[in-house]
Parts: sequence; structure tokens; C-alpha cells
Amino acid sequence: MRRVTYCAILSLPISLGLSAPAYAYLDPGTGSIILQSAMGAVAGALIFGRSHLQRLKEWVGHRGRKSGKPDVRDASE
Amino acid sequence: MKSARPDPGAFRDPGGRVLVSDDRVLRAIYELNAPAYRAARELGLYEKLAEQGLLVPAREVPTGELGPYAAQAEHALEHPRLPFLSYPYEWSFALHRAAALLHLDLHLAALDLGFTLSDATAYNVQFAGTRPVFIDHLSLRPYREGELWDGHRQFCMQFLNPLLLWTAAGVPPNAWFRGSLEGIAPEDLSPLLPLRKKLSWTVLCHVVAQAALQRRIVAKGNGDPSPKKRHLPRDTFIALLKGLRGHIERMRPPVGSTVWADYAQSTSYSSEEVEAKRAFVHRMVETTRPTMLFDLGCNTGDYSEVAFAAGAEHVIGFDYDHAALDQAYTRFRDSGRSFLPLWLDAANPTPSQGWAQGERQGLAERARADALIALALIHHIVIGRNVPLDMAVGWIVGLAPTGVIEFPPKSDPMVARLLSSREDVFSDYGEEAFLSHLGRHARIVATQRVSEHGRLLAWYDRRI
Repeated sequence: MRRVTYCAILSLPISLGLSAPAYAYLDPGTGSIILQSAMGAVAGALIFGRSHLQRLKEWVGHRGRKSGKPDVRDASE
Repeated sequence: MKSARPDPGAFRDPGGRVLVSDDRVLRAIYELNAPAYRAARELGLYEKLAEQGLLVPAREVPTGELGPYAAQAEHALEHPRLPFLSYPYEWSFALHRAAALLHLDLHLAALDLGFTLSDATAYNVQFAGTRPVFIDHLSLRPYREGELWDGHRQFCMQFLNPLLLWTAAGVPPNAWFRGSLEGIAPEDLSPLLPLRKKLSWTVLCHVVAQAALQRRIVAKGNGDPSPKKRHLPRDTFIALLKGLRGHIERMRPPVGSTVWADYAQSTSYSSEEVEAKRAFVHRMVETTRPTMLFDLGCNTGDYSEVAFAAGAEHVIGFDYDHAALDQAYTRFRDSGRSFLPLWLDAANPTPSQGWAQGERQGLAERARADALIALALIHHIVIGRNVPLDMAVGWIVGLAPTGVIEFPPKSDPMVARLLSSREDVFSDYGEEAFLSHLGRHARIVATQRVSEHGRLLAWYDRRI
């Protein structure tokens, strides 16, 4: 999970804007909110991708066994 | 509780108030926070966190105990009174890091029990001796699946960024924090950090990216990201807290010798002189039995240790040198002694400030010392900072009713060193004048000459 968060952090755009005058009515926590949402979204996407990768691996493994190749992992257990 | 008054630093939460009197601390819980409190009570949350040493204990008392403040309250709690309230701009590096880790540990423990923290203000962490503890029970509320970390920016501003200013830029944050009570904003810190320090994941994410996002939002004037629609999965939330915890735990204070950390080794004190000072301090403390003793100019805590051995219950050690304070922290951390080392510029003590100039109290407002020791200090105030001798004596004596002040004369090598680079305009600086000024404020119980160069210890008592 920690790796996922780090990936989320690294995936954030870091080429963001330059300084500008502060507006008194802007919530100073807005940057934090967007940052956390981005981390949540990226982490979610990575988990989604990882679970699909796992399914793909399982599918490939299943086809491999059906084609007659011995499953070394199962045999060793 | 007739003499209770609202704590001037606990008014921002509309769901409750803290009331203090000389010997009690009570908390009124209003309608807004009552459901969260009842959920915590049902779970035994406060007890579980207090058992882990993370939270100040609480016990429910009848709302009638709140006296004139009972009308609005649905519930009331009583907490043990802490010996002294300190502020983050008075903490050394070690204290600030310990407070940050405590805050994260508490939040992780709370999440494990289905609760979260509604804010992340460093003023909610206090110290019982060197041990940090969280004091605001009403910051704990039930966690809602997928919610954001409300206190993220505040944590960055009041814990992470001050520590980064220290470790990444080599600058103690105290003066900045004292002038900016909400802490250090990512937008302000980011441009100051060296490029190689920005390559750390934690810094990149929590400082650089957050600052850049904030700047971009300000530039666009678009400040409504509708936080209710935003989502942070619980696992990511926990990983975020753990990532910060790991980074802060690995932080080390900036290296390099400071003036005072090796003071005891570099001064001209003989062992006889040290022994004489110890014995004199021991006698004063043993006789007066202070519950609270201030050690002004505590250095690494040698004489605080003497005070504990003589029967002092709590000692607050003040010093200007962070490395000395951190050494004192390490010395007492595992000792079981109630010792709190705090940063203080004696010529510019912590002022009363914040809302209505009372939210964060000055040193004088919080000083409830029964005794003090001020060893090898007064020449720094008088000669180092040009404070007249009578004013320096008056200030020290005003902090505690009894104590020991050391007076080093101009013949002392350390005073001579102070005078070596400047013109001697201190005609009033002498033992006779010192004793005369002291005698105007208090009775002089005893004096003792402790060095061949003429250093004098004076025990005063202004109660008799």
C-alpha cells in the first residue's frame, strides 16, 4: 500500500503554476484537498490496475495448465 | 466550580469549551459534539487511548460541576491538570518531533478504532515532562469511509514544515512560528528548500506539490473544489499517515556544535566550584520543597538534576541553545523525572498573543513556579543585552517567590569574555549593586562565594 501511495505521490503533476496574489476568500486548504483527492484517485487506479493484472495472470496460468504444462508451484507444495 | 474561567486558548471549537481554575480542568460538551462524545464513550475510546499514553485521561462529571457554564452543556469531563502549558514555538527539535510522532500515532490508533481527528493543531499536544500527550478529546470524531484528512494542511504547517525548516534548511523555526501562530505554509517554505531536499517523496508531495497546487488555485481564483465530492480511501489515508511518520522518525537535528551544548566542558569551572553550587542549590530546594521549579539557563540540565534529587517535583528548564535543550531532553527522557526543556530568549520572553492577545499566553502569565535557579545567566542579560541590572534582577525575582541567582563579577573570565569585544559601559554592574537591588525585592536568605574569581550565589525569598 505504501508503494501505491508513493506512486500516487510521484504521479502528481509537479510542473504547476507560479506565484500569484492571495485572495482572502479562497480556502487555504484547497491545495491540500486536491492533493489528497489526486492521491486517492491515483492509488485507486493503481489498485484497480493491479487487481486486473492479477486476474490476467490467473487467466494465463489457467490456460497454461489446461494446455498440459505442469504447474511446478503446485507440485512443490 | 466557582472560580472557573474559560481557557483563553480553547474557543475555536463551537462544540465545547475548556474551563480552568487553580486546581481543576473541566470540559463542557455542547450539543454539536455530543453525538461524537457519546460514540467515543460507548467504545471506551478515551480510556483505550489514555492507556496507550496518547491521550490525557478524562472522567465524566455532572454538568453541574461547570457552575455558571452548565446551561449549554450536555456533558462534562474533568481532566488532570498538566504542570505547564507550552507552545510549539518554545519547543526544541526533539520536542517538536516527539509531538509530531505522538499526533500521528494517536491518529493511527484512532482510525484503528473507527475514529479520526478533525484537526491537527500542534497546540493540542502538550508535554508531561518530556512525554507528549494529546489534550483535545473533542477533536476525536467518528471516521466516515472515504473522507479526506481535514487536518492535512494544518499538520504540514504546524509539524512537518517547521521540522523541515530545521532539517532541510538548517534554520530553527521558533522565531517564524512565534510570529505566525498558524505555522509555516507550504507556499512559504517550498521556495526556501534546496533542490536536493525537494527530491524526497514526502517533501515533493506535502510541500512542493501542495504549494504549487495552492498557488495555481490562487492564480485562477478558483477556490471551490467541493470537498464533499472528494474521496480518499482509508488504506491510502493510513499509508499517508504512516509515510509521514516514517519520514519524521528518520529526521535528525542539524549537526554541528553549538555554543552551549559543550558549555560545562569548555568553561573555567573547577570541580570545587561545581560542587559548591550543587550543594547551595540542593539546600535551597530541600528547604523550600517546590512543586514547580524554573531552571533559567538550564543548559543540559545539571542543576535541574540536583533540584530533583533535593525534592523538586516538576522542573521547566529554559535555554536559548537548541542543542543544549536537546541534550537535556535526552538526559531526562527515560529518567521518569518531570523535566520539560523549553526555548527562551530571556531578553525577549514568550509574549501573550493570538486572538485578543490572550489566546497564547506569555511566560509571565503561565509562570506558576514555586522556586527558580538562575545560574550563570544574569551577565548575559545585563552585559549581553544591555538590560539594566535592577531590571534584570526584578524580572528574575518576579518569576518565582524564592530562588538562587548567581552573580559573576567583572573579574570572572566569562564576563571578561563578554566585555572583550565591546566598551564597558556597565558601571552599575557589581556585586554590591546586585545585592542592593535584590534586597529591595526580597529577603536575602544566604549568600556564598563559589569561585576564586568571585562568583556569588544569592538565595532570595520574597515571601517573608
